[in-house]
Amino acid sequence: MSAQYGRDGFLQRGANAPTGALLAGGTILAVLGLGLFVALAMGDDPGRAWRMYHVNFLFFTGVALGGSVFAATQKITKGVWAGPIIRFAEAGVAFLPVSIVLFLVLFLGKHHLFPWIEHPTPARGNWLTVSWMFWRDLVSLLVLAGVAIAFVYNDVKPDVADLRNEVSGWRQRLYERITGGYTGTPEELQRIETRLVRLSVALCLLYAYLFSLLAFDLVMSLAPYWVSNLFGAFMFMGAVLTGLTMLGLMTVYWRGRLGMREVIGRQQFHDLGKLIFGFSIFWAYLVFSQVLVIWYGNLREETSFVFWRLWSDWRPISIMVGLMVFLIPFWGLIWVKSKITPFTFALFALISFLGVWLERYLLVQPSLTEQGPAFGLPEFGISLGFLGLFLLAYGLFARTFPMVSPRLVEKAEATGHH
Amino acid sequence: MSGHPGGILAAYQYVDSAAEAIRRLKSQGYDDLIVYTPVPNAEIAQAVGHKVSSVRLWTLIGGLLGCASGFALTLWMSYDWPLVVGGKPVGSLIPYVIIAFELMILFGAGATILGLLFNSWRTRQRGAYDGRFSDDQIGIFVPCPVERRPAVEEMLRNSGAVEVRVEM
Repeated sequence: MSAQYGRDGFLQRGANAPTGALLAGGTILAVLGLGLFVALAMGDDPGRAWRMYHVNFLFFTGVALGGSVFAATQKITKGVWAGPIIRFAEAGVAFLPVSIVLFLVLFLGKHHLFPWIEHPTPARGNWLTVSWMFWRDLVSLLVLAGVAIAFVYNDVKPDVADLRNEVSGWRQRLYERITGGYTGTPEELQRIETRLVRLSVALCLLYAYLFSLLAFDLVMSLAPYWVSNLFGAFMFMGAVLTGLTMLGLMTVYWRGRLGMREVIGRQQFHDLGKLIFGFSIFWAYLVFSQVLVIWYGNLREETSFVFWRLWSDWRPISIMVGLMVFLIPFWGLIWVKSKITPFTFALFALISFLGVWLERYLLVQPSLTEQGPAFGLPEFGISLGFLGLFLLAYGLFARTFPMVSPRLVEKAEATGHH
Repeated sequence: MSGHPGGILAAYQYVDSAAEAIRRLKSQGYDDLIVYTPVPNAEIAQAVGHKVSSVRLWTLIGGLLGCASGFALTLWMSYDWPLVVGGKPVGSLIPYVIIAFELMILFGAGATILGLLFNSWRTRQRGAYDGRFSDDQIGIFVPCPVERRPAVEEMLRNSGAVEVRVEM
């Protein structure tokens, strides 16, 4: 524990995270962006608005889940180095309830998105019917959100218990409620740790299964005759990569604002940088292993999906995606210096984050529109609106719950990881 | 007469005491010590003052060379004896990525071993050794002239060595 602040210092800082900018920025972007979405969805070309809605729904749900899945992997592996920053990843779960509402809204736009509603595909049997697909995906989202929120709830509980006498008003009532009979004895803490490990394992397994299902239903079914077995894994590993880059960006954002330069240092940036570097390579591997098989097999229903993206108007976007998710972060983050320097680290994390966004755009758009890529006010506006919603949910979490866990900071410091 | 300069060889059971002894020796100007550990250890490496090894540069260059060779080999072979197989282009980059990847690993690994050998050869140093240092103990060999030996021996004993002996 850093001598300068001590346990109480971190409790105070964590509980009083400055969230004004996040909340204000998030609200403005969300209101403007979603207002624009509603206007466009009512206008002449509702399809364009719904496609962007779909892209962003997929992307930000992935970011929120990817962050908590990363936190879960740290509990499973008993990794302590991420202790000081883990809450920045966990805070993303606040977006999951929003994401469920967004999914319900998506139901309204189903005719603009899923081609198999108007042109049923007998090849897929009863698998692709409106009620069966929307029900199973809604249940999947609810289960994922439930487990992720339960996981974060249990990780926050001991810190909330420490703080319940330091806060006032509605927060005190909420903290009392969460704390319940918890008094913080070692046995109780041990029970929570055990439950956290169990929830982590459940979250990781369910995430792999259910996010694959969402990927098959919500992305692959947009081109209903195209099949790739690996596609689910490709989508959920990409989402973990965005969870990591989001965590990286948030770490850079919060480090100075929470006065944590003492405890978030070289070690955290270096390790996160290595993870982002590794997942970029893994992403490229997953792309390549799909392309290779499709290229060799040379079956028409398989190649059309790739062909349309690699050799048509969409080619520049494909090249951009390859550069932004793989080549640029690879050469950018291969050096120790660039990983441990917050500026370059944040720059490459941001490029990778935007790269995966563009990848999701590339997966959805060409299946649904005859036109080439278009980037105008609808695209940027709706995306910024979703970003605003994410930041708003994130900011509300940061305003309500402690963003630093002295318990986890202590563990990291005890091993000399800083 | 053995093939190394005379000096003192000490064996340690614990990492902290060995690291402490190394730091003390360094602060007194004994820079040419030899330290043996059965397993890599960060604290010892820090005490010895190891810089980041240059072997990783060998790995990088080897890997890039391997990747380039993989593409060069496959493309050259395809165009040297052109055969159209399955309607694919004669030089098809997509499957060649696999060969380029394998050669990248092979050359990278080979270059790592060469770099390791080269660096060990360049910084080689002779000193006394004991089989325990590849089992469960940490060894420090301090080359020093006869007149300084009692002082060094005393210090090594005080810092928790399990055995200290003079090597001629």
